[in-house]
Amino acid sequence: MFFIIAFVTQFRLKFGNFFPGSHIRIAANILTNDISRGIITVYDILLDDIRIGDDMADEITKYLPLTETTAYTLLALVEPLHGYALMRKVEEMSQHTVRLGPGTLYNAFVVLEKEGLIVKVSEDDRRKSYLLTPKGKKVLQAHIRRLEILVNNGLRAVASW
Amino acid sequence: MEHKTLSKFKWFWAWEDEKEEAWLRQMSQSGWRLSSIGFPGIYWFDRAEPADTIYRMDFNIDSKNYPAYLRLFEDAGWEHVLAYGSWQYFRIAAKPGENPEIFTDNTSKITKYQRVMALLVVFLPIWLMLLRIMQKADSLIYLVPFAFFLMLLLVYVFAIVMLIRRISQLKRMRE
Repeated sequence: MFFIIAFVTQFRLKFGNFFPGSHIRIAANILTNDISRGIITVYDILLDDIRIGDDMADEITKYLPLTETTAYTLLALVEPLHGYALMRKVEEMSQHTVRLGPGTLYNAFVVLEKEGLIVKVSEDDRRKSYLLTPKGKKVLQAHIRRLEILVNNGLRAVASW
Repeated sequence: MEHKTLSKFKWFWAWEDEKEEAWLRQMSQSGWRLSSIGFPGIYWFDRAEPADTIYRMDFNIDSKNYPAYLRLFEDAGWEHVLAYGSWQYFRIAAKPGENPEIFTDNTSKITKYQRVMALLVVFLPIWLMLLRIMQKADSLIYLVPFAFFLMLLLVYVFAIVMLIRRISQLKRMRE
């Protein structure tokens, strides 16, 4: 019993004045406590994906380089496609080097639509079809340009072996 | 007489989903087909022909797009078994030479754990508030619930720390 009381007292001292307050204030107070330092990291990780530069000049380059999943998803959407059709097209187009799982593709749709790189064009029988937007085209074009440089360098190197 | 259904208690943490998937596959190989899950961690199985079935779990809190979400998985050949809270259970028959996955990159695996963690973090201030209210009361009677809540909070923090570990593990693999 004494142990619990001692613990409670200590707890009061450490967490004395974090309430009431905003998340930031809570975070700042928790910062003084070693055990809970991990919680700060939580906010860090969650904010990680939100922290995207607002500079207009970086509007396109902030997405680069695209992951292979994203690049193929965008590339496939030069024509309107729903999820499953896109999965099959990507597999065929990539000569079976890239496979998209439904979980991965669903997440990609959500993110790319939010970022305005693709847009929903129709919905039929619970199937949503998407299409590349002008912004999405610019991003894909910039990515392909990067790949082109890589491939040209690579081909030169391989040729000299 | 042979039992037609089977219930098993088993606890898996959110970051042990791969272990859970492997266990469900084993169960189906020995002729038990998952039918439902109840809190806390009670799994119900139906007797079935032994089959090699691959189970995969997703965590989805996007209720607006839920029908389209399920449709996408169905189209890709995945059967939606059940939803346990926000956890979505899918299964597909294993075929030799094929390795079906619902996530084909690390980014989407990370997103899944981030969603779980976001849900935990959202409720964290409420937990701390409850604790704060309880410690205000000076009577000794309050020590019991206080200790109980403190224990739960520790489990909570443990879960968050373990999820962070899992996420950073996946992030290292991505780089």
